[in-house]
Amino acid sequence: MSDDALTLAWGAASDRGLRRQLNEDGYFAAGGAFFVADGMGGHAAGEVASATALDALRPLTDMERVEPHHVEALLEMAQDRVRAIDTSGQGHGAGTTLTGAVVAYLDDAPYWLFVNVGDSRTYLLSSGVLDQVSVDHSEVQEMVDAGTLTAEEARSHPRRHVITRALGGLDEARADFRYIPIGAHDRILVCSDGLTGELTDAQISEIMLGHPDPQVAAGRLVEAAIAAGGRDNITVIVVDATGIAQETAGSSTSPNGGFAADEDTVPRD
Amino acid sequence: MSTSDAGQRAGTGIRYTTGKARVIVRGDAIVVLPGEGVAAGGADRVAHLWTDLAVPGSGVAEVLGALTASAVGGLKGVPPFAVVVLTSAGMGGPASAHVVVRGDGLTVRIETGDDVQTVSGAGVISWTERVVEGVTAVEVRTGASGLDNFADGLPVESGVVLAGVVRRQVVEHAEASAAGASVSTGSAASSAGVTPPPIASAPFAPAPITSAPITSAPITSAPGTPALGHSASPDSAADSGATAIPMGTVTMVPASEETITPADENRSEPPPPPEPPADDGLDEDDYMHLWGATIAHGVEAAAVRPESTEEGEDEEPAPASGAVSPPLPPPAPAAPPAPATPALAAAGSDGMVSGVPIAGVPGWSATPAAEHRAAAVGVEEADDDHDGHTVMSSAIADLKAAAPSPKFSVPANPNAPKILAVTCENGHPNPTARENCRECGSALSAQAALAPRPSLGRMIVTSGTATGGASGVRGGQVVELDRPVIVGRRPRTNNTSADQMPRLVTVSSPQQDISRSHTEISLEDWHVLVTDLATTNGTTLLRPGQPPRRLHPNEKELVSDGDVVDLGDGVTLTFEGIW
Repeated sequence: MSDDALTLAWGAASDRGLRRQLNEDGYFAAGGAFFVADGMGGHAAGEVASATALDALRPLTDMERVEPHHVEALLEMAQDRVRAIDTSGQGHGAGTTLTGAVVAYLDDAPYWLFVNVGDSRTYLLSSGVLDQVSVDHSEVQEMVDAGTLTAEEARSHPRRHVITRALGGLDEARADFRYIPIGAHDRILVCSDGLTGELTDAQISEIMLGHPDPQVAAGRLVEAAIAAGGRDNITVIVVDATGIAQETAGSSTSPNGGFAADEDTVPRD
Repeated sequence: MSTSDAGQRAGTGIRYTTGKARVIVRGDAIVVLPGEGVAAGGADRVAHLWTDLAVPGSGVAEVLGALTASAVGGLKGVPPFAVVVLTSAGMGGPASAHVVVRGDGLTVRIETGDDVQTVSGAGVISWTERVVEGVTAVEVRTGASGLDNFADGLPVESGVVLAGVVRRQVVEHAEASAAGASVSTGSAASSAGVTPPPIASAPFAPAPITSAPITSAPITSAPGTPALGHSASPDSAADSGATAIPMGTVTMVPASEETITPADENRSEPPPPPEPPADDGLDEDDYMHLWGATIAHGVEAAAVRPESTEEGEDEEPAPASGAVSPPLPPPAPAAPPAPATPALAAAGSDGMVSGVPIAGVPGWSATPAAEHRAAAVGVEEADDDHDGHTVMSSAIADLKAAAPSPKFSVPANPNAPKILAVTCENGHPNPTARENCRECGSALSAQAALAPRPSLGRMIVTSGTATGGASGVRGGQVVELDRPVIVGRRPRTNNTSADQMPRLVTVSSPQQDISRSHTEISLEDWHVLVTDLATTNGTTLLRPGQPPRRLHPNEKELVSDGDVVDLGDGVTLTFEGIW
């Protein structure tokens, strides 16, 4: 597996949408690191916050091996810098979400190391199936987890924009991390909530599957979100993993129980 | 004292004498590797360490992780080393030093004012670790002699050098300052291929690397496409409605140096969209002002409605975005002062070290016991208990005998959660029910208190398949249970915080018997639990004196010492040293 160089091809697009005067989103894509930040705060503070947080992640591109605690150290730095942003007495301070993925090797196997603070999202399109990788740090997500709200209701809930974790807030910005092995022909999507607020997962999946070129796919996603209302800033990165060996070949006997994640495990007997 | 010659305070900083040990100086850390002079393979390790030390706050844990991760043959494969990490140095006052030494020939002298204590790696099997406050100087010696006159040493600020003695003077020595002016431009300065940087302002700054001394790690062609384009001009995207930003490709090669230049996050101006209609009739509900305005709230504040001023601010015409030049802070000048490294370091933090390979574990399928066990599991459905279904404890003993586990204590996971424990005089935490320390036998404190959770035992991973050669196929591994573990053919984790991140242990499964994420080992208080992750073919628990038992999917089962867990395809997990 280590003989196969992993190649990543990516495309990105960002738009302020139809209703907002500023684009407070930002993104960073380089050297195996792909992150989107959705800034918030009065006047330009959000724009500065997202740019500041993304800038703090730059050292990731120089690291040979990335581990969660490396990212955490950088996030702490980002947190400090975002807190230090002068909001000129505008009442609420600057803050930002930060979501994305960075390529990390465990032993010699390439993994996505997903990172999330806030309600921007990452998705993984693997073997034609789109799955949301990140879990939103939002009030409505907590209600969904508690069973008091369905995922569908959450989409239109009045408090859907209230997030429970962010960089720049008073609380410690505890990030979620997740390792998933990079599979052949994996495609990941990193996006701000301006995309997921306008498009359902099914619509996103259709566009992702319909456009092999990652730049075209990113552009189409943003266009579709604008067409659906464009009420927030929209930022999208689409990353394709190629060049890595196909997972061990083998007959794909369907499993006994129908566990999607294990469709290629062969039942005994 | 120092005259008008400000900025040339030779009395502090790092100096060394030329020798044969590879010394890495970066950030707050000094790493001495006496065995790595010009040895083949050493360059790789040095390059790894160099990279690791670039991370703000990295210290002993990272170095130990890097040194033990690459070790072949268990602890014996770990090279001799000394690590010195100083925190709150460079402020003019004494610093706190975290020192770890392994190997006979190495000594570290830690000076605290007039007192000197020496830490040596001699006489211990693993390594000696010490945290000392109020440190005025630290000196690492690879031989008998020291750096008697600090000013005689060659200065180094950041880099990799070949040294015999390296000394970091935190607080200027009274005597040293007198001799400070006569810096001898040493004869051997260039022998290491390193140009000693000028004696820069002494308080050690983790700032620009004055020399670029890494002997280039073997760069397996990394055909990165550095030109991550600026090609798409903002206008070219106007017709698409979206601001298209250039795409790029990046080639990743494991364990090679990246040659990718960071892409310009080209946040170009979007084409002017149609002016948003003035926010008049917000007909939906009075939360409409929240559209697009993401708000951060603590969970506690969840019930509080955002202040209504929000609306005014958000919809108010803001200054044109062009006028807003985001005052980006300058590119990170290395770091904020490194946080004190937790007192104990893990062999590999954050799940990267999936185990210490055991040299010479015989193939498991070859042992009679394993065949016996395989037969027993195979006819499980026959539902007859007395023809081989019961696992004999002797059979398990055979299994265990085949996998000798190294006996050494592994430092605790620095991120380990705290659990209730009673502690012996040597500081070993134990479960509250115990009367004497399991590790050293001494009496335990009467008072229970929260202590960082130690390792809860070891898990030996064996695979019946051939382990030779092929990458991705791992043979016997000892996995320390200082954090959760997920074992599978292509394991993945769920979302979790960095300090709860499980180790991922990949096992081969030529028959595709084993699921990608098959079995999880979780830790709760002093207990180790095993869970079958709703797998296709299940997980079987082999416990001495009991018939094999298939675990219920997604149900945690308490692990006892000596348990063997069978994942199929010849892969077993043997648990040892469970409390």
